[in-house]
Amino acid sequence: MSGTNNCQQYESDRTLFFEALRQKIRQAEECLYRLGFKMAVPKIRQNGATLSEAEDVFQESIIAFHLRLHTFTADAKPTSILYTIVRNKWIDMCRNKKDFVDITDDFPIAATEPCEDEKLLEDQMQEQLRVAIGQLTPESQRIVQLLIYEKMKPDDVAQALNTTRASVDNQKYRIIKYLREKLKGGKQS
Amino acid sequence: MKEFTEDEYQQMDKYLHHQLPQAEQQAFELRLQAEPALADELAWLKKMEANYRYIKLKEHFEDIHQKLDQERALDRGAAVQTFWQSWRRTLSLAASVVLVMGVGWWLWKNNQAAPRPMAQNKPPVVEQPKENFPTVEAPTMDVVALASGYAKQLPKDEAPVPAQLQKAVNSYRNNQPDAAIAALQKMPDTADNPTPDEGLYGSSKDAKPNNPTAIDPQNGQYRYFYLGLSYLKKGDGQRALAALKKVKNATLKPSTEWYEALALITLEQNNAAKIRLDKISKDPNHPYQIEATEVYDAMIR
Repeated sequence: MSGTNNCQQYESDRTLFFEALRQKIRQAEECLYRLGFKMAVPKIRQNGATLSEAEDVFQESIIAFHLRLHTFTADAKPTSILYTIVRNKWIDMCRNKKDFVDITDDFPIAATEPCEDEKLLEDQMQEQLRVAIGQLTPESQRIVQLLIYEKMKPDDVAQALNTTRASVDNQKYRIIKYLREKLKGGKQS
Repeated sequence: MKEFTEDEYQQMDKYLHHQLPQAEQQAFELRLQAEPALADELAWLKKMEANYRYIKLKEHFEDIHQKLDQERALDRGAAVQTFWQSWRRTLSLAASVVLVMGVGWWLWKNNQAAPRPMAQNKPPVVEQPKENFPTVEAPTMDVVALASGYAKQLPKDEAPVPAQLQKAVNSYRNNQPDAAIAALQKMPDTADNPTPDEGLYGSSKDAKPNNPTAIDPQNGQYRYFYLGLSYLKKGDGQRALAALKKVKNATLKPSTEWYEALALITLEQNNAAKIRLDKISKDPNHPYQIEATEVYDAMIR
């Protein structure tokens, strides 16, 4: 099945679309990116954004969409929810602009609130994490990715990496201690 | 800074992911109130994980953006211009026209003054050699095509198929995946073995616990297996993967692992596919060791 056919399938079945996005199916993610981009970027540009600003807002919004994905139900289309997030982010950026024209007409969906994870985001910590994780061995990087990003259970990680659960637990412990040491300067007490 | 033990980190991890039994959770919350250092560490852990997920998501979507951009699949539209923006553009266009006309007139005037060249003095027309464009090499083996080819092959070392499934499996073998899927989905169910679609999207219409005509749970494993293979034959990797994930039967496990990897490739989940293929290729007793090695090598080439 080609990507376009899949996208048509996702557009017509929002439950399937959400399910595929939750399973991190790449075709579904690309489909949402393409449809959301087409819907939101020209609209933000009409409201005074440069192309680069519009693309940055869209990137931030699609990340926020995925951080909040577990909270969404299939009451609205994924593309409509994404559009609402883009709109809210652009409004946040433009609050002080006098000539801002609201773009609410097309999708009167209740505003989606930032999730708990988004409130914890901090540029400084991201920068420190990038450096610290880049210094880990490839195997340790993979463990972090599977446990934290893919949210796999330690037993499944052990199976995927052909090792034991105890080994995964122990490596995770050592990685956390290492990250703690590297990042402690950035910690807020 | 207080040092925490491995057990304490495990407990924090379980607490963060809501995996502690209620009694332990309550006890842990009491500890959090009494020990600010522990609460602080938990907050740091949560923040670190949130920021890590953000970094990975950012990398992931930058990758998607780049790919779609290269495929020219991103529709940026045209920004609507304000009155002043369009007026400025019109003015600059008019200025360009005036400039071109002026230069044209000056050239024409100069041409009028200079003697016209005789026909015989014109340089001979020489055909310019055509530029040699480098030949494009044939594309390397397409991993998706390779996986799709394998996905259509019948499983190796098939165990005898339960009689109840024979008709559906024959349809699958005769290259009629739609008929196979329809037959497999129609089968009566068991309480511990929900209909395939219920497992997929919570949309079961036929789930009947304690159904007297229900198939044996063990046979149910074969049903998921062939359902997954039939979807894969159709190219529907997502449904194939969902069905194959339910197969726990030890006999079917090796083949299931292989077909799961193929389904992941059709879904462009290359990292997850590589993990499975790597595992299979390192197992000398795995029936698909050679094929997995071939596909894995094609992926990293």
